[in-house]
Amino acid sequence: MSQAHDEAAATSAPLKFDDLSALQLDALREVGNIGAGTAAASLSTMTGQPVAMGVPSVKVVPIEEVPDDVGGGESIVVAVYMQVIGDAPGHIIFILEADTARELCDTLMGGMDPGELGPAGFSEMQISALQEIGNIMTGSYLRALADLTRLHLEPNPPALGIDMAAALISSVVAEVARTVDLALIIETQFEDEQNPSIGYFAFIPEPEALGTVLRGLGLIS
Amino acid sequence: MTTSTVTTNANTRSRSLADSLKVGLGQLVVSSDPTDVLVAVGLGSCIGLVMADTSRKVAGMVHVMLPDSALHTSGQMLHGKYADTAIPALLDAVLRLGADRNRLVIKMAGGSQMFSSGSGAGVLNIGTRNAVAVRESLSKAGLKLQAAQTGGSVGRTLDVTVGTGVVTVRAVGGAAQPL
Repeated sequence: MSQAHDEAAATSAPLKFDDLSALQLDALREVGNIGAGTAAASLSTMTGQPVAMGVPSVKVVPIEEVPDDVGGGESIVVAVYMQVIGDAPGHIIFILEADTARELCDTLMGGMDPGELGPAGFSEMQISALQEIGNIMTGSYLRALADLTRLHLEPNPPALGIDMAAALISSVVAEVARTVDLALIIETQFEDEQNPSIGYFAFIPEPEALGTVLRGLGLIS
Repeated sequence: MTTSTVTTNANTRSRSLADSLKVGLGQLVVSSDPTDVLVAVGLGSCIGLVMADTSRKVAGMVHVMLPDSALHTSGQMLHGKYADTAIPALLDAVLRLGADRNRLVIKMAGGSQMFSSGSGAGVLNIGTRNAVAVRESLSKAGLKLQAAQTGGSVGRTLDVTVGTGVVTVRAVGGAAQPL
């Protein structure tokens, strides 16, 4: 059963999700805290408005439950997906509710007419603005993650999708689900004064990268 | 292969929402209750595949995530997760419920590229490869696909009504269309 993974096993034995100690979970939560905190600061700079963050959480979720856990279903969301390569491969996803994304565009474009709307309800101009926001947000998260773990991490250019939440999320989950049926998700919600959930950040390390991340944090030798 | 993830009539009731049974990522669900509707919500790169026998009022659906089970390492496996294992498992499950192999209506949807550039390149491969792998797996089992709506860059929701075998698919901003 395991020979397909001999190569990975030789460099670092895959760490089992249920083996994580309370201390290690705390450290991973801190990764979410600092990563999303840095991204929230970037967002706040762009909009000139304060952006607050919920308490980050670390979860191990059976893959079939991930879309529901993340708030999937058919609701339309804007998702920016960045594949992380390097020492600890993984996936960063930034999700905005459609309404929040529209408001964000309005703020950034100073009330300018967005132009003709496409099938998902966003114009070309809004889409480029959201892509740019996504690039900055996911880039900030990744830099914070690399600094914290002292690992060499590189981004693949972030990609934007506007569609049913479940369709976008499950497409990313498929990437981590190749070998295992569980996903470890480090997640953080964004909130403002009116709304407890305007956006969502998740880092999903590849299963074999978890040990590397914890080693980078000094929690295993 | 066992069919432990198969949802039978006995436990569909407790999980049903107005007779709608959700088929989650990697899951396999079959039913012989004519009022049941099996639904895969928000298929992206995944494939939803239906096998239905309207004369026997039996239908089943798998929510395939990946083309090939060769990389699977952990002990347990979701029966609907991989194209190569999902098709034989679904066939087995609908036959057990009394479906006639020669009357099966088989339809699928999904296999999209949800992210269009950069980091989405890997995801693109999965959607396309899923559709190819499902077709291969069907032909290996000697089964014929009647209808498919795959590819493109849209999310889709697929459902089948057990009693009628009617399959519909809908994308963002559109109404449900018969497939």
